Amino acid sequence: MPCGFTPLNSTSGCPDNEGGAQYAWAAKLEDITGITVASSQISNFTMATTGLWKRLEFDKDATSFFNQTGERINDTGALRHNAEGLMKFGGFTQTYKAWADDVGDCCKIVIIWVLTNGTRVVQGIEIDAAATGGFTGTKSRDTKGTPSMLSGTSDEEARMEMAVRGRNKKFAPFTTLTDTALAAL
Amino acid sequence: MIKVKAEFADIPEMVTLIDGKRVGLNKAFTATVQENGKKPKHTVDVPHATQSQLAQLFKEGDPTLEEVGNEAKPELQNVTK
Repeated sequence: MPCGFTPLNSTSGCPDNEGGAQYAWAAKLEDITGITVASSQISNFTMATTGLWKRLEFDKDATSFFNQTGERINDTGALRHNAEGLMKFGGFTQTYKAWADDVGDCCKIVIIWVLTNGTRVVQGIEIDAAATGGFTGTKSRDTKGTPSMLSGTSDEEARMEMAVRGRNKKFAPFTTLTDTALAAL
Repeated sequence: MIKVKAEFADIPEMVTLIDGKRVGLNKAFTATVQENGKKPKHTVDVPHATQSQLAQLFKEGDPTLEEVGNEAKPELQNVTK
C-alpha cells in the first residue's frame, strides 16, 4: 500500500469500542490450502478436509484479549506488529493437560478471535496474493500457542491459559465468515 | 473450464464453502468430523463441486482454481469413401 492519509473520525458513527474476546476458532496453518479475499477481508477458506476448525469457548471473565502492538526496529526502521492473544479456561484437569500438550506441539496455528464488539480477526495468517493459496503465515515470526497450567494459591483460581503469539508484517486480517460457515467448513 | 491447480490436485478431500454448503474441489468424499465444540463426532458426505460451482468460486477469487482454455474439438467432417 502506498503512503497516504484518508480522513478518519472516531466520533462519527460511534464504532463499538467494547474490549475483549468472546470465543475463538482454531486450526493449524498447514490445514488451510487457500483463502478468498473480498474488500481486503477473508471471505472464505479452502481447507485440506472438512471439520478442521475447532471452536474454543474460554472464560468470559475479563481476561481474554487479542492485542497487536506496532514497533519499529531502532524506532525508525521496519514496522512489525507483535500479536498476542490470551484465552483462559478455569480448572486444572487431565483434559486440559491433553489439550495443552497437543496445542503446544503445533508449529503454526491460526486463531479467529471473535471479539466482544463482534469483529472477527484472524491471527496467524497474512494475505499475500502472490503466495500459494493467497496467504502466508505470520511473516516475521510464526504464530504459536504457549499453554500454561496454573494451580495458583488458595486465594486464586486454578486455570489453564493459552497465550498465542506471533509477529506480523501487517495487522491481522478480518474475516466475514460466520460461525455457521466455520462449523460447516 | 475451471479446474483445480496442479499444486492442489493431490489433496483429495480439499473442501470449501459455496452458498453456505461444503463442496469437495477434487472429488466427492465422506468424512468423519471430530467433535468441534458444537456437534459430537459425526459423518458427512461432501459432494464434488459442479463446474458451475467451480466457476462461481473462481469468480469470487478462490486461489486454488484456475481457468483452462477450452480445448478445440476436432471438427466433424463428412468423410466420403
